[in-house]
Amino acid sequence: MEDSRIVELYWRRDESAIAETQRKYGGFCYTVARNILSDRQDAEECVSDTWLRAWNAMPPQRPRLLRPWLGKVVRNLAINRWEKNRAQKRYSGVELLLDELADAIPSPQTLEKHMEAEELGALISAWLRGLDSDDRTLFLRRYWNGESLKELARLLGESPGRLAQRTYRLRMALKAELERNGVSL
Amino acid sequence: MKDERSRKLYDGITNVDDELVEEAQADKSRHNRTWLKWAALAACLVIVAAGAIKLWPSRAPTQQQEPGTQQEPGTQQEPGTQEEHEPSPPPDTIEPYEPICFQLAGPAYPGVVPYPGENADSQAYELWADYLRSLRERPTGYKNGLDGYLAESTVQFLSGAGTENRVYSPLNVYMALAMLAEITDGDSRQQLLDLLGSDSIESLRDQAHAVFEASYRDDGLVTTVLSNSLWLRNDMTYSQTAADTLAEQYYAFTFRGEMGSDEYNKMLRDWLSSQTGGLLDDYINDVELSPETVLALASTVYYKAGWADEFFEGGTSPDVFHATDGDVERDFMHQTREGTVYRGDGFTAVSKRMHEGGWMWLILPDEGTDVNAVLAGDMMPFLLNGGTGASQGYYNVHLSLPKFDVSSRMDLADGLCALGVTDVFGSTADFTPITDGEGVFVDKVEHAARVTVDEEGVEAAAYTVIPAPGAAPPGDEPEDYYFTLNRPFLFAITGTDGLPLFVGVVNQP
Repeated sequence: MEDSRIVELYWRRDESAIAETQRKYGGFCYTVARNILSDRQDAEECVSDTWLRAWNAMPPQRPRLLRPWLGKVVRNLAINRWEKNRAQKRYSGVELLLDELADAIPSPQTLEKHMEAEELGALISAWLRGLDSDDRTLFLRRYWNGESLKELARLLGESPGRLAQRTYRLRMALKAELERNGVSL
Repeated sequence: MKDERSRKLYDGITNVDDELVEEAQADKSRHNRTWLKWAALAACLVIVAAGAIKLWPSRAPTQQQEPGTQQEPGTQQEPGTQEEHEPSPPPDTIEPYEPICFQLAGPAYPGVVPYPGENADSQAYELWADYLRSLRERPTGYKNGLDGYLAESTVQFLSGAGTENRVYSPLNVYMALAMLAEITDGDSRQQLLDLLGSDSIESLRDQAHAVFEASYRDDGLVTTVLSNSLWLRNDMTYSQTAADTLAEQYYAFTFRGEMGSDEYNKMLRDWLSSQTGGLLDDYINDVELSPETVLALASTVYYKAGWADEFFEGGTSPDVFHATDGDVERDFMHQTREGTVYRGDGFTAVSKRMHEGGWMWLILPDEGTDVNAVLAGDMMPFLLNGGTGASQGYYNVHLSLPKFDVSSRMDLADGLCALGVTDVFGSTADFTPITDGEGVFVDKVEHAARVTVDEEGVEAAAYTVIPAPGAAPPGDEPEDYYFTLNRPFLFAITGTDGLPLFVGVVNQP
C-alpha cells in the first residue's frame, strides 16, 4: 500500500492503519530498534511504542515518506529507552554507536555555537551531500540504521576491517566539518 | 559527559534529511516521489535614467525629446523609418542600430547541474553532488563590509509603512546599485560606494560578483535566481567596455530597442515577468520606459524553496489579527515543535528552516511596541548575527502564523537620498563610463517585492519533522511557549549563509 493511503487510514482513525504500517515497515523498524538496543524484547516493545506514537501523531501530521519518519521515531524511542534503563542493562548496540560517535565530537571551540538537533541535522545533511555516495551510504547505514560493520561488510562486499577504517575516516571528517562550523556539543 | 555529547550527535544524525535516509536504503526500495511545492518570493528593481539625449552621430532623430516632456508610447515613428546612420563608430562603442528591439549576446551563467530526480543512477547523482560540493566550497567572507548597507537600507526602506505592508529585498537593491556604480563616475559613484561599504569600484565589482555567485542556485531543488539587465536606446552610442563589465561581472543581459515604443516596453515587462515567475505581474504591468529614457537597469531576484517542516491544513483556524487600523479575522496556521525562542530589545523571534538551507525569521514586537521602533533598534544587528549573542530559551513552541501574501512597490529615490546617494539624481550626475550623453540623471528607482506564505506553499513543502521525542536534553521537558503573530510583525528570509534576501513588515496579512 502506498504511504499516502496508509496515512489516509490514520487520518480516518481506521485501525487497519497500524496493520498496514506493520506489514510494510515492521521489519525495517524492528531492525533499526534491534541494531540500537541489541535486545529482542526491548526492540519489540520499542516498535509497539512506535505504532502508538504514529497513531497519536497522525493527524495532525501527514508525513510524505513513512520510512524515514518512522525511523526517526524508532531512533528517538530507542535512545530514550537506553537512557532510562542503562543503569540496569547493557545495550551493546547503542553503547558501541555512541562510543564511535565520540570520535566525531568537535574540540572546544573559541567561538562556541550550540546547535539544536534539527540544525545539527541540517549541517550533517549538507556534509553528507558532499561525500561520495558510497561513503554517504556507509555512514548512514552505520550511524542512522545502526547496522553493524559485519552486516555492512556483507552488504557492501568489503572486509569489516576495511570498513572500520573507512568509518573512522568519516568520523574524523565529520569532526573536522563540525569544528570548521564552530559547533560545540 | 562524553555520553551526553555523543547523544547530541546521535540526535543530530536522527534529524538528517529524509531524502538521504531514503537514498541510503537504496537496495531495499527506491521511491517515486513527487517533489515539493514551494514558497515563492520575488523582487525586481528598475532604475531609469533619463536626460537630454545626445545622439551618435550628431543627427537628431525624429523622436528626440526635450527632457521632461512627455510623449505617449507608440506615437513615434514606426520601426524601419529611421534614416540610415553614418558608418565607422569608434571600436569601443555600441553603435546606434536599426530601430528594432533585440537582445545582444547574453552572459555565460554560472554552471548549474540539475537535480537528477529520485530514480537517477548514481553517476547522475554524483554529478549533482559534485555541483553541490562546488557550491559549498565557494569562497565565504564576501559579506564582509556589507552589514552597514544591509542594516541602514533595511531600516530606511521598511520604516514608516503606516498601516500598509512593505517588502524589501536588500540583495536585489544591492545588485542594481552596484551596477549603477559601474556606469557612473565621480561623486555619483563615490556616494554609491560609500553606501555599499566598498572602498573602490574594483572591490565592489569583486564583491558583487561573489555575492551573485554565492546566491545563485537553480538546480530544480532550490531556486535563487538573480538576473540583471541593461536597457539601451538604439539611437545612441554607449561604451562597449561598460556593457562588457556588466555582462562579465554581473551576468547582465544587454537589450537595445526603440525607447518608449510599445514593443520595447513589452519586451522589458516580459523579461521582468519571466525572471520573477509571474509573481509581480500586478506591478510589472505598469512598468514603462518613456521615450526620453537614456538607459535603464533592471535587476530581479526570484527565490523558491520548500519549508523544512510543515503546517497542518487541519489545524488552520480563523482568529483575530490586531492590525494597526483595527481588528480583522484571518486564517492562522499552527505548529508545535521544540525550538529556540530569541529575546531581543522590544521583540521576540523564532526561525523556521527552509528545505536545503536558509531560514525564515519571524519577529514579533512586544505588545505596545511599534514595528518601527523594533526596526530602528536591535533587529538588524540581531538578524545579521543570526541570533548569536541574543538571549534565548529552548521551549515547546506553539507557533501561530497568519497566512500572508504581502507585496509592495516603492520608489527608492527619496530613501537613497537620505542614505547619502544624491548626485545621481541631479544635474551633477556623472554617467560618463557608459555614455557621453549630457544631463543624464536617474529619474526613478522602482522596487517591487512580494512574499507569499500560505498553507498551500507551506503544507506542500512537506518535510516532516517529528516534534522530536528525543530532541530535548534528557529529563528536561521544555516549557510551553506560545508564539502568536496576531499583531503587526516583521519577517526576514536569509540564505544559507545568513545574507538577508527579503525583509518585510506585515501590517495586514
